[in-house]
Amino acid sequence: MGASPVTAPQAPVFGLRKTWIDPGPGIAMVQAHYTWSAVGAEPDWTEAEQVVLAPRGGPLRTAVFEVPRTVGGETSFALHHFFFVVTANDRTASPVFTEDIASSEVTYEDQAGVYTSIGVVWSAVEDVPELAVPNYTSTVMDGLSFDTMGDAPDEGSLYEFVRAQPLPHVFRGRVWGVRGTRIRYGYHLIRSGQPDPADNVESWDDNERAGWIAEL
Amino acid sequence: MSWYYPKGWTDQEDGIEQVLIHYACTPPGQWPDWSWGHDTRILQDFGGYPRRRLKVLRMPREVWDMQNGWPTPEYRFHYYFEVYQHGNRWTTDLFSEDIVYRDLEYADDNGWVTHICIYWAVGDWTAPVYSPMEDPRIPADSEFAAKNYYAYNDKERFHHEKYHLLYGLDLPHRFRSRIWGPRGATLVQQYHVGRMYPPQEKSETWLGPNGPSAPGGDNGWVHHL
Repeated sequence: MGASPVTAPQAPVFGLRKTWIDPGPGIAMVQAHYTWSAVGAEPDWTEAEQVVLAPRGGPLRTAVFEVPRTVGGETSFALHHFFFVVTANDRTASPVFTEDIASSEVTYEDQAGVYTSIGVVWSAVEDVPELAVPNYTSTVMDGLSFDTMGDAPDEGSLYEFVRAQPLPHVFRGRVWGVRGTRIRYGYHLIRSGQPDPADNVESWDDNERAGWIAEL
Repeated sequence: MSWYYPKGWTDQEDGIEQVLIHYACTPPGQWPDWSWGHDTRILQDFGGYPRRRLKVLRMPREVWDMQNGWPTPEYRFHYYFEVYQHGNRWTTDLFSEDIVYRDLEYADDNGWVTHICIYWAVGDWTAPVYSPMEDPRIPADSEFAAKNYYAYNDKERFHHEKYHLLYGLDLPHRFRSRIWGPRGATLVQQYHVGRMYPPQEKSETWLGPNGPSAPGGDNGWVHHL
């Protein structure tokens, strides 16, 4: 597995659900087209993404956009989308909607130094909880020289690095979404690389299913 | 533009709290360097017994081959699952699939079609994809190339101009585009065809082997890549 890299790494993405309500019967299909740009810049639709919205019962259709976590190195940027609607005898496009994507820092303070890494599981707060799209961010601990915008726990053992740091251990990660919306998140608590592997443990803390809320 | 690939998981044991998929794409015959960056997504929990989980992955239409300095539309997709269960984690074996493409052509013998896409999906219709089709005699940089249609503000002008562009070409019009998937997989496919000009003749439908129908369903061609 140690071959030299052969493709440029893609920016990590997050899932963002978009919904559409059929205004009446006779709609055969709804697509969403989406792209992103720096804040204030016009969208370039030549390489835009498209996704078909899936019927969810009744007039509701939804799709999940795969949105990068950074654009031009910035964690705040603009997301543009429009809907393309096909009926039996016509097709129309909605206006273009432009939203600011924002991020918020989430921290976890480990007073006792129990954990070696912390993940954040998060999704936009949806009216229908089943529509929530789970996302994951691995955090970075203060004092460690690792820096990542990645979205997965590090495979390597951090145990020795972590325990060399003074307490409390503060882990920082980010969550993303549309500015003005709310993000519900929980923690993935990991203790790995212990001298006795039996002491390794991971658990999930979702605040007794309520999670915690970040306002974007 | 991308295409979509649903990857599912069915719990085989109790106590599974979360399943993640780690994945990367490389040119054919090459392997990923996982430390250099890859994607990781949480599978959405759809419940049921046994519990089903699914993530629809957005896949590239080509992968850049740094060793050779060109893009390649056929590539390898590498992935493994990371499973959190009973307070511990374990990973599956690494799987690698060859992603291959197939070019489709729709021959319009009488010039009825003014707009056409391949409507297709890997497996079933869980994650359908549109591939706009074009007669290769339409210049790629044309303002009225099919790929420009969706974002074109004045649709009626586009309909008019595209109709006349096609009208000037000898019949049959041969529209072409591409579908992708893992080698050995099954793809379902229809054509979404439309005649958008003249206005009084506007009509469109999805075509399968049994003729016009609604999108998706059983009326689709099946491809084995």
